[in-house]
Amino acid sequence: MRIEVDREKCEGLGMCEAMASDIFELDDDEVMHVLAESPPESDRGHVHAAVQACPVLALSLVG
Amino acid sequence: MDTIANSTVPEGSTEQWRDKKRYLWLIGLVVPSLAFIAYGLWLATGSGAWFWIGPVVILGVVPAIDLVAGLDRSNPPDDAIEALEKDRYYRWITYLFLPLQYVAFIGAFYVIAQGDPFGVGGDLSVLDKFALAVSIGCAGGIGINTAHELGHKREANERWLSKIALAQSFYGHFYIEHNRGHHVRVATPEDPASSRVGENFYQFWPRTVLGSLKSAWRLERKRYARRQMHPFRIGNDVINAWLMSAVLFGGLIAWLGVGIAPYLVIQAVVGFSLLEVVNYMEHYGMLRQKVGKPGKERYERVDPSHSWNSNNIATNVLLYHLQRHSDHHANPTRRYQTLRDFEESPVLPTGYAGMIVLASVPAIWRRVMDPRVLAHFDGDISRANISPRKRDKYLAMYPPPAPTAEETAAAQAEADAAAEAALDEVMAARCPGCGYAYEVEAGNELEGFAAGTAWKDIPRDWCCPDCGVREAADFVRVEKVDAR
Repeated sequence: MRIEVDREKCEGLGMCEAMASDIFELDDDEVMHVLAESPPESDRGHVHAAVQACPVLALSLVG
Repeated sequence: MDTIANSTVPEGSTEQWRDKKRYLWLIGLVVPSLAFIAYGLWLATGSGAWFWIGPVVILGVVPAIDLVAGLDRSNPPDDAIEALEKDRYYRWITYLFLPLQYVAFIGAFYVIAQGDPFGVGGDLSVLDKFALAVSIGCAGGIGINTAHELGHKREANERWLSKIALAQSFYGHFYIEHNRGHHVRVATPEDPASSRVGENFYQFWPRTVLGSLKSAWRLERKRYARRQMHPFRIGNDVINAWLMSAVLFGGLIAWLGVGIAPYLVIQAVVGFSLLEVVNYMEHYGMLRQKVGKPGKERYERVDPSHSWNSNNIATNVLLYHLQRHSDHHANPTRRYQTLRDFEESPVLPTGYAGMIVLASVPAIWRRVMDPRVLAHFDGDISRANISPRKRDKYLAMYPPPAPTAEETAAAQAEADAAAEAALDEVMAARCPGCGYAYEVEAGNELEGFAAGTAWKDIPRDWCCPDCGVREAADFVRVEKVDAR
């Protein structure tokens, strides 16, 4: 399982951080950082929820 | 099919789940068709009263059906969801809304301006014109709901259709604000589209209309600012959506005369007000709590308990399952036919359509809804999103239950442990007075702290070695010390 971010689309809205704060983090300039690009399988549930919730469809889950 | 001797397949075992609402979804097309029905009945009877059909159906007929038709809590099983989602039949129903909406819209304005095109019905009185504009506005308002369904989708053509559906009510910025503003900030005091306890619909209306507009513009400006570009360009979704409305309204006025202008305004205001009254009830009083370490607080994730739902079938069919609002917020791109009902979601006493009638009379709304908000928060109104100017009144009216001694002690212990844990992670801290920074890695030998001395081991009353004014307890956590 790997998280892909489309940087063209990402606007730093923070929905992913709200859904999975251990995986996504917004810094003070509202730039989003993926803390774990390949999170463990046990996190699939809330990582999937965070990817689904992205309002600008910048996130995708591969594998 | 082959039959094998002496074999019986258990009855029902080969049955597939079937969507009982499959053909009911077509009812969603009734609202944009109402203008045609009104026109026909006007010609048949000569009575202009039929032009009131829009508000009569939405505020009268649909709530009445909701009261007698009961609830539908059926959910598609997990293994049926993918096929249901992919079934193109369902999206064509939403696409069909648009031609009906616009033929009715343009036809209605022709009748308002020129009277009956076939010379049978003659001209309309001012009251009839007003009624027709209100009914067309109702169709435009329900059109915003269709736009909402389309605007959440990954397909670019559906997002374009969404903007077209919004053009009638001059509300194209909704597409921006809703997806990128409201969905992120839902059920927080910062969201203009989440209503607060004690805030009646007439107070909510200006806050949400202006707040949404500002939010949409801010989001698009920020999107361009990230690329170091000014926001005044056609790619700005607020600008191109408004332009679409301006061309539509301008074209109609050029064709039919400036006399239709007031009716264009009336139908637009009716349309977006219908949307906003539904916004008003979707999250009334709901509040996401703040979580996280001090200084890095954020709102808890959105869950089913943050939206008001309803399973009244008439409104659900009319609004494409909008009332299964919790699932919508959890899965914004999920198509209407697959949205599910959750056990945990708070439920309104009737469908959204009936609740519109209640929302229009604030005293009744408060009577019905405030006790439900209170019950949702287990009797503790302080956990609700309360209108700031009503806060004291509400806390006095519904005093929050006093925590027991054990609860207070447990909360204190938890807070202490959290503070301790937070100190554990501090790698550097800066004096807020002079800017001196203590780094764990370097320590401060002169002060007697060896390199690597953790910040939590520094006495809280240790004075800043540079200014001697501020104490360790006042220091601000910093991620790393910049070279100065």
